[in-house]
Amino acid sequence: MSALQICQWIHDTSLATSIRESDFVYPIIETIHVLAIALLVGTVAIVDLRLLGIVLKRERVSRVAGQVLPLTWAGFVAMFVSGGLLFVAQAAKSYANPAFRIKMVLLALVVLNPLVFHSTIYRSVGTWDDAPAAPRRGRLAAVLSICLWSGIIIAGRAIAYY
Amino acid sequence: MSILPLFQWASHAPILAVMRNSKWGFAVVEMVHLLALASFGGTLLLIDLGVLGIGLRPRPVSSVARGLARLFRGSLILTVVSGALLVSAEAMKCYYHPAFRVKMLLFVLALTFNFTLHRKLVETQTDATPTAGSKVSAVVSLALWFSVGVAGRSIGFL
Repeated sequence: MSALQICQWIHDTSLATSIRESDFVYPIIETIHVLAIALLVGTVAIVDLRLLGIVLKRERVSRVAGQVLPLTWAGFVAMFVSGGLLFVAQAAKSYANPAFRIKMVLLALVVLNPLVFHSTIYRSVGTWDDAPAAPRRGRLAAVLSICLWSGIIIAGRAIAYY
Repeated sequence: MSILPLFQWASHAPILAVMRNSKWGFAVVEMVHLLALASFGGTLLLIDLGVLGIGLRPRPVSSVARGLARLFRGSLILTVVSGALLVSAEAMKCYYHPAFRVKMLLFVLALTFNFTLHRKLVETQTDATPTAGSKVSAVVSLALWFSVGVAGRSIGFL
């Protein structure tokens, strides 16, 4: 079975059809998806800006990162579930959409970023926790994160234009 | 005084023609609006949820609010400017649109509340535990901004 066939099969399930054809369900899921952007990307951006030394310079990096994390996870779950349902409803159409494909690639990359960051640079956070900005590699991770998430929002919005 | 002439001007102004006529002009500004909204929403959530003891726990509240004040104002300004440009592309449609009217009403309410009572309560809070007053204020603030978001999203659906 090819990816396209799988998408077509998802597209034809009764769940997908009922989301697609309902007057209210699709807009409500889309509204949740947009609000979840603020929760997920907004909180990620604040940690990134802290690493760059732009906001909350007087707060410890580990404190900002640790306390923001539950909100980021909540946003991630809301975004992933609502985004998944939006995809299911339009699976076959999304498959062929270039903006959707770009978004999926960027999403895969953005997941790698915190994995690498936490297993390398962040391990030594104790030595630069109080510094106004993170060391060079930490700042690089922050810039990458902001760029990738911005790209995901831009590509996501562009899906509607194809 | 009516604000109708402002919307009529916007729907004919040559300087705004790119917003009306170019598909990508609108698309790009819409993307900027979303990006600004993400950073505005994130900042707002951290400040208000912090008051309620979720996320960035206050130590004191005012230090978090002050640390994020510039980001809050900056992303708010970017959201408003990009939003105004989006409106200019469909000025007359927006003027008569019920969801747009509700959104603007809620937006003015949320903005006024934020920069008067709410800000005073949050920024003068110097002790570590927030008072009941500032907690209520945070809930009202979150509810107001949330409804601005929902009304905004429904402009595209009604």
